[in-house]
Amino acid sequence: MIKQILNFGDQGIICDFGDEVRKELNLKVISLFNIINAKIKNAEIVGIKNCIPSYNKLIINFDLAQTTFEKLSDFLKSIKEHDSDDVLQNQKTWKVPVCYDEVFGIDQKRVSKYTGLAVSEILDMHEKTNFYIYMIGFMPGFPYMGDLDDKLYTPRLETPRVEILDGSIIIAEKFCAIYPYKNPGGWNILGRTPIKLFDQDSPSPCLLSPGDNVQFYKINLEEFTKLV
Amino acid sequence: MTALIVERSGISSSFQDMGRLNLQYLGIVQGGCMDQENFLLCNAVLHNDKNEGQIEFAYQGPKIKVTQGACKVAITGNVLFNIIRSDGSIVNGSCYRSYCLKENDILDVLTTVKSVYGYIGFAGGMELKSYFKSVSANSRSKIGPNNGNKIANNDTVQLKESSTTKDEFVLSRIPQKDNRNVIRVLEGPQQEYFSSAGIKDFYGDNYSISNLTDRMGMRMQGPKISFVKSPNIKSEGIIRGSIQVPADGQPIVLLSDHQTIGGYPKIAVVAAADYDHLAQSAPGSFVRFKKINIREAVISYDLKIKTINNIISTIKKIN
Repeated sequence: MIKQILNFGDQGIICDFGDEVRKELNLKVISLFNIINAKIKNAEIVGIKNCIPSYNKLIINFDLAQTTFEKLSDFLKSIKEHDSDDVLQNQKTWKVPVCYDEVFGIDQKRVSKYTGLAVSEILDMHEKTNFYIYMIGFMPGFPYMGDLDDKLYTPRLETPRVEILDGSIIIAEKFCAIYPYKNPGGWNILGRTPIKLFDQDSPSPCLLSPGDNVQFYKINLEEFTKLV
Repeated sequence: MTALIVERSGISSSFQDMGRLNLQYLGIVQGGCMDQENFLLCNAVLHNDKNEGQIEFAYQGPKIKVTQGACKVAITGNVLFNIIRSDGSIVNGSCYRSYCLKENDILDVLTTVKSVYGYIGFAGGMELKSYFKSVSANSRSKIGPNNGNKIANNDTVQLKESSTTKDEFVLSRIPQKDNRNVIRVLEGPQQEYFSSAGIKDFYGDNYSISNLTDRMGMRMQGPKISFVKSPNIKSEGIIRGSIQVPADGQPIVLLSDHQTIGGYPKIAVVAAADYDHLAQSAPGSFVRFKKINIREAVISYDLKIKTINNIISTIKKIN
């Protein structure tokens, strides 16, 4: 449940759910987000420009010409039931192919050095992790997924790379992400997927949603080339 | 049909409207025009829909030739421009009024004056492909017509309708020149990260707008803001106008094409009433942040909207 409702400037509201980054708490955020998003789509609430779930917060950006902080916080308080079970029942699980070939997984050795684990162990642990999408952001379609086993904890690169290829599967700390397209970045690259995560010309432009699950499965370089 | 060619693209010229809503949860920012007031006034003087797409430019604008048909154009902002008629005669343009253009006339947008952004609109609007109900280009996220790219030399644009009238309109009252360097802000959500000296510096001193400023953000240079704890928060949703402070202690104001989530503490948020004014402040100029409360912010925004509507109501036909 919401711990506190706070101002964010004159056009924003913060629903604070607590301090931790864990799935149980994030499910509550997503569950409230789903309710509000449905109400926005059905025009049951006016003046919301954006509703943004993150690990432990739901932030609402509203149009001051159409509504007020008071009206929206009353609306938020009126939402009695938001049950994490709804999210769990409706969440999708995406099977995402990943090619761990060294040509793509250029930081496998760095992660191995940092964690003291063999590369094969690292990749095996990564592939077997059932990832949960905490949030999507930073760039269109970019999923923040967790949690990696503590043993795989590796910090970001000290100097970010100028370019990371689209589809790169990357890890940092307890998180894993996929690059929807080419961009700079400082996470450790383990492999690459041929799947397109975001395409503005597609009828369903963004493959993943917050609250979904992702399971990776290994493909080789030849299969990767065929799927691109 | 009316067609145009961009003979010179100008600086950072792009298609913009009021942006796309309720997609930030997928990493898609609202984006849209940097200066909403001038955007609204441009559509108003053309009798366009409020959200009709326009060309936004920064500093130097484009040079656009009418290659086919006729059209009606208007420019808003503080902008110097000429209309070069097909017979070679030159008209010095005025902002906040519409002009009828004929085939082979050229619109030459020279520069913005003591400001950054200007707007070019066409009566009836341009034929642009809309993405997520908006034609706004976001070059960093590659969203919008032409993959979100900026307008380039030799790009062509078609208009939705050809102009058949000779009537031109003007806003009799135009926005007042606003030279104040005070930007009103509200206290940010992460005050506890900053030392009291840091907060005092933020409000007590001038900050200059650095050259590292674009549609995404405005980097400020001034007294280094000090922290009482590590300047990293759990990444959370960003709202336009948030002022975040990374480890180097120099504030960054997040503007229309901001990242959708961020992990730096926010010392303040620009009041909605002052966002357009800040976005129009050029690199090299100084600003001073002044804290106001929610009530004052709501009143100032209401006043701003009323002023815009009042200006729009002064539209009249030029004889």
